[in-house]
Amino acid sequence: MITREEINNIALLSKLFVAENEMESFRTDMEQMMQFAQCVADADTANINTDDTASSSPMRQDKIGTSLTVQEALANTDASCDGYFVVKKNG
Amino acid sequence: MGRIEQIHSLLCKKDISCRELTEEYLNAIQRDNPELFAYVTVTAQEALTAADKIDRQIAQGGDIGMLSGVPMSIKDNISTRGIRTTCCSKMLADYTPVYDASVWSKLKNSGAVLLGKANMDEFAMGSTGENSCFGASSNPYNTALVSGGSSGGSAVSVSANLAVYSLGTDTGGSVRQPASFCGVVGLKPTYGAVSRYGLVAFASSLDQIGPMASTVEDVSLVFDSIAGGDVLDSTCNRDYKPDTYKTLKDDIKGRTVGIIRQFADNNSISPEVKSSMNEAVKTFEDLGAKVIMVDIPEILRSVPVYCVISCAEASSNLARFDGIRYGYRAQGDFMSIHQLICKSRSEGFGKEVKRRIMMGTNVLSSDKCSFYYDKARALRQALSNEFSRAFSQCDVIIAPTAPTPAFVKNRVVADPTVLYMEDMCTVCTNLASLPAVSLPCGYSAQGLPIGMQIIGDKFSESLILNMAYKFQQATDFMRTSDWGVKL
Repeated sequence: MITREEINNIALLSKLFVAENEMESFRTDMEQMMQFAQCVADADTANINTDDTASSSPMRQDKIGTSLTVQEALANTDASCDGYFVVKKNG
Repeated sequence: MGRIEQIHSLLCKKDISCRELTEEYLNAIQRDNPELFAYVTVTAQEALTAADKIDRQIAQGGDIGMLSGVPMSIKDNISTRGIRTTCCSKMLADYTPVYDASVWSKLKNSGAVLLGKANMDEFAMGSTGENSCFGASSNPYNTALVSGGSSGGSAVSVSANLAVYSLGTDTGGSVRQPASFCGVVGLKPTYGAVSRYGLVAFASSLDQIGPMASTVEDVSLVFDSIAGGDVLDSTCNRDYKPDTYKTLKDDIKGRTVGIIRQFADNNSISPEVKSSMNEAVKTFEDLGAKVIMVDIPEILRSVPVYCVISCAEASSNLARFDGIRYGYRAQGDFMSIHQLICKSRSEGFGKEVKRRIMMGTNVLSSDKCSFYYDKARALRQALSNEFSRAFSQCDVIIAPTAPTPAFVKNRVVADPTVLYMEDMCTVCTNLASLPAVSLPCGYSAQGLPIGMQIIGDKFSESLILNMAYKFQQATDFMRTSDWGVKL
């Protein structure tokens, strides 16, 4: 059983709000999805070696190259000022 | 002869100009797209400009490449500089990339003519094509049915002759399943065969870009053009330079084809699909291949494993959408930056996306990670090991692409995981990083296409496309559509 408090906590970690009228639907969906994944949690995986799933990525030299211009970086924001993104001041 | 080669020949012989060809496609899109909704953005001006450039090259007597002047579409989660790329989400409805995805750069350099951006399930999450913020794409065989997804618009554009080929993306079957539902060919390449740079990430360890077209030859030509190393994607194999077109017609006599016992015995796969697969086995035997049964027991757990891993990666990848730097920004007076971000994300994402982000966040939380995410990774490895063992006994494996043919739109399901099981035949190859091509292998009693996958070991695209080509030549499942352009 997943509680409303748990859904609110997951939503907070996910940076989402769950409106009151969506709460029950999200709660039951989450319950069904976790039930679906239960066979994963129940599996005995102690003897499976996962070390070889990690493969190394090729490294490149750390060189200064071209990047986005300020204008390009700001091209898709709704709110900018003097070449900066506008955010809400905390507090 | 594939459609690309056919068009190449028409252009070279000057039987048609590239502008005339492009206009044919644009007119067909204008006529048929309102009903099929394959495209969410049509790039008519860009297409005609590209076409004129090809015509000038031909007029000057220059050689043009096979893909030059061929009209195509791209799924709307692949970045196209200056052309909006929405992922069919309200979150990115007004987003215009300032750079190109590597696959699009390569095709542009090959002279591709982009007709527009294809409809899809929001952020590639879905298997019906219905989770698009702009509305669902429709199946060209029967518009009351789903196109499949998430690359639904790509499959429809090819099936309905509104593009010669398309680029889709496949995280758990999103190229192959809509290809199967719409009667076209779709390739999910080996993980690392094609650069993901510029693809809006869903689950980075599973995502691959793949071509869709109406013949195996066309898929092969496009794959050869987009595959290979890319310094902008460190997971892309730098030594892989496939030439699948060259070996397409090789003899397959003596090859060993595996069939998966766990699918052969499975009651979730419809009798019509099983019967088509049995016919496919006979076709391969007639072509001189030996067919054996292989065991991959972990395949039965692959959808829950996929659900845990893909949601976990999605929750992390989609954390970047904050409504501040790009994407949907909620309006109003907010108490804090946290409130602004939460409100923007809650209003910008659709329900399925929010559900998966929350599922991913939950399975990665400190008290659950070792039970769900860590174990899912181990089971993924076990599945890979079982595939490796199977490939020591056979050259390729064949399997159904989807458990049923296309179904009706707006199917009411009380449990979201019912739809996840639509991917039961496809997610295994994403988890094991393997290549798989889906192609038509039969029709249902209602005349709907049924698809078969040919799965290969890592980086064996040449072999699976060779097997697919031979199957295509030996059968008659490629149908011409009443929609779109008639060449």
